[in-house]
Amino acid sequence: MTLDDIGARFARCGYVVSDDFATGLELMLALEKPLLLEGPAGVGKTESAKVLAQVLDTRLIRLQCYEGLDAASALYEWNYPKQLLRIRLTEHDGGSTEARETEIFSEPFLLKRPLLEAITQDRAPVLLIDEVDRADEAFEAFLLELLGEFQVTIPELGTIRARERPAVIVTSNRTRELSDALRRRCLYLWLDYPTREQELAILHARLPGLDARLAEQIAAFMEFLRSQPFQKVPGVAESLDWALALIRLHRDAIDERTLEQTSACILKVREDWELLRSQRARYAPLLSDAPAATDAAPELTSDYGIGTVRAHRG
Amino acid sequence: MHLTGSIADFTTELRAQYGFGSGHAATRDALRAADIVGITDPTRLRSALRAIYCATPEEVAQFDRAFDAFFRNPHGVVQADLRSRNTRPDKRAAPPDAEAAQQSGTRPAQDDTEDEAEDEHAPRRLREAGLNDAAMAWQTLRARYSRGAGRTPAPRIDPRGIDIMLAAATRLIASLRIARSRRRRVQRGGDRIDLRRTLRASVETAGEPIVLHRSTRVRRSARFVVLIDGSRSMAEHAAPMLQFAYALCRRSRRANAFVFSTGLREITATLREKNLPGRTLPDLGNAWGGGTRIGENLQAFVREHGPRLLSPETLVFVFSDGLDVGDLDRLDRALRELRRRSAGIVWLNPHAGSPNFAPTAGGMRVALPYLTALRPARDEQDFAELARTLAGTG
Repeated sequence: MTLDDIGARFARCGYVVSDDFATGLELMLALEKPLLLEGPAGVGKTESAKVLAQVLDTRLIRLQCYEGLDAASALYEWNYPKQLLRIRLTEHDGGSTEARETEIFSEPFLLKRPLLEAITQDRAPVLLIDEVDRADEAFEAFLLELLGEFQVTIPELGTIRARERPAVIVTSNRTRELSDALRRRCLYLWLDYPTREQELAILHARLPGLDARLAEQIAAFMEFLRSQPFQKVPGVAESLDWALALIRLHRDAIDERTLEQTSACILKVREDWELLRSQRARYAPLLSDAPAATDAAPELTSDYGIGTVRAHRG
Repeated sequence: MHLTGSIADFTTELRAQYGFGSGHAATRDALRAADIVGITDPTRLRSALRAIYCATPEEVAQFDRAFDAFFRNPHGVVQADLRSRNTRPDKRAAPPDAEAAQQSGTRPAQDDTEDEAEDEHAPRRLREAGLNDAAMAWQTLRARYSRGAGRTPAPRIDPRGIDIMLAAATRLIASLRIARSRRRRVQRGGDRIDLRRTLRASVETAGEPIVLHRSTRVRRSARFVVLIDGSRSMAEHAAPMLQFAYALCRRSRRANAFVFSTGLREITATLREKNLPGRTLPDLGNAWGGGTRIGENLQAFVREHGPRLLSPETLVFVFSDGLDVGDLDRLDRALRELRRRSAGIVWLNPHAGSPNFAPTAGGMRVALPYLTALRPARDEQDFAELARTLAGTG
């Protein structure tokens, strides 16, 4: 796949990739190396893997990392009940201890967890190792063999090599530093908040029905929000939520009151909201001064609340 | 075509001048990448090489500058193409910390542009000075060549009494195992049965699990954050605190230290160096010897480093006399946030040991409700005592 190809195919799935990102993906596929994506929360790191699987028309295998994640839940686990049963069933068959051990520690008794699953597919899947920074340092060691050699060593069984090398995307939110060893095995890409133009493109790609002027206003306002020292800076996910909320509320412009009503979509910490209010002078020019769509603006009278008036009632 | 040699040189350059960790593997990948994306479009080549050579956001921020500098030189191969097309202004390749800080607003808005202009020449000047120490961090360089360098002498880690400090740190780290990892480890008398080992052992007893192997959750030491007020009024009292911060960083990988005055700066990497006692710290810029803005800097810390360092297993030490010329309201908010996101705040005040001390300084009064403890910090004995107390109650 060439650069333009990647861009176009991703766009068809509603995902806007920058040139940097497209180049990174192209290299990842060509060099068969994992791609480490870092960046603030909500810029579409996880989503990119899903879209990649869609673009390559293959399976997505996802490993969500968390603290305490160990080899047993990430790589493989022995099927203990099955082993136990087998031992009981063959109790009186004679046979040496070694022979029995070999039997119950063979592949039919192995439970494949995501990482092992990913390298034993006939068709190369996309493997997403999500939020690797949440797993503890010790877990990274398990990953090294897989990411470097695309193989997994099981003490009782030997080394299992990948039939087809999966396309691996590793994401991190930087809640802790990753080890150098892990970083050096990956291609690296820093995914930042989108620029105003990119944000606009994303809004249009994801919400085709969105009014062009409203989209402009959202993009401009998000640009302002991201320049503020918030505790939780809103990401792309937030701006999409917001746009969707505005569509549902039948607003075609953002004014002061709309902003207040929909603030829950963009700011998720009370202090951030207070900080925004204190900056009123700076964001006021971005708002529409006249109350938007006065005729259509629903009052808070219905039991169903704003935006659900269209709900089908039999 | 000398592309091979040129890329190999570029790898060397990145290692030597910019402290990158890339080696032969990177050169090989870079060559393959150049083959894939072609060398006619410099912007694409740059994105491709960036993905290969960089491993951290800091490196990403430096990379463009390095790429431009190298491939515009006459000895680069693709230079003919690159020179004519590369019209991207140098401003975009501003040093990492400046750009990052500008975005997030850590550094109080001051003469950033001038600093940047200075920094343009830093690598070259460094080369001229014959100091191509690959391990030297960019931040250090930046500090060394920035305008304010030498304003207030940077502090020195006093070797006297350092053994007592190291012992205190060891004691503190060993005793405060407040963190419980979710990882499990085989241990006799553990709270859960380790099925894998038990089953394996049971093969010998015809499937009868007679010997039970158990596992337990790993307990690990707490995380420590040390925030040192390096303002003019505090600088003379800071020596023991710096020693203790050094001791903590030497003894635990889960300790991080910062100094602040009008700006905030992390000094963890420097403090991890083994032979530091007796040596002077690299210039700390606006984080040392200036005015005091405790609230502002604590807020910057929470915002910038909070997600990485603050958790219910983090013990925060703040070293300051609480004489804040900044906004006390900000200090209040910063401390509330710090308290909520950590295991506790221990405030170390160099004056707290004197008999007629009362926490009346503006900052101190604001801080009191949030503190786990307020302790003196005049000499190594105070720190030994601190370790004993915390170990006893922790």
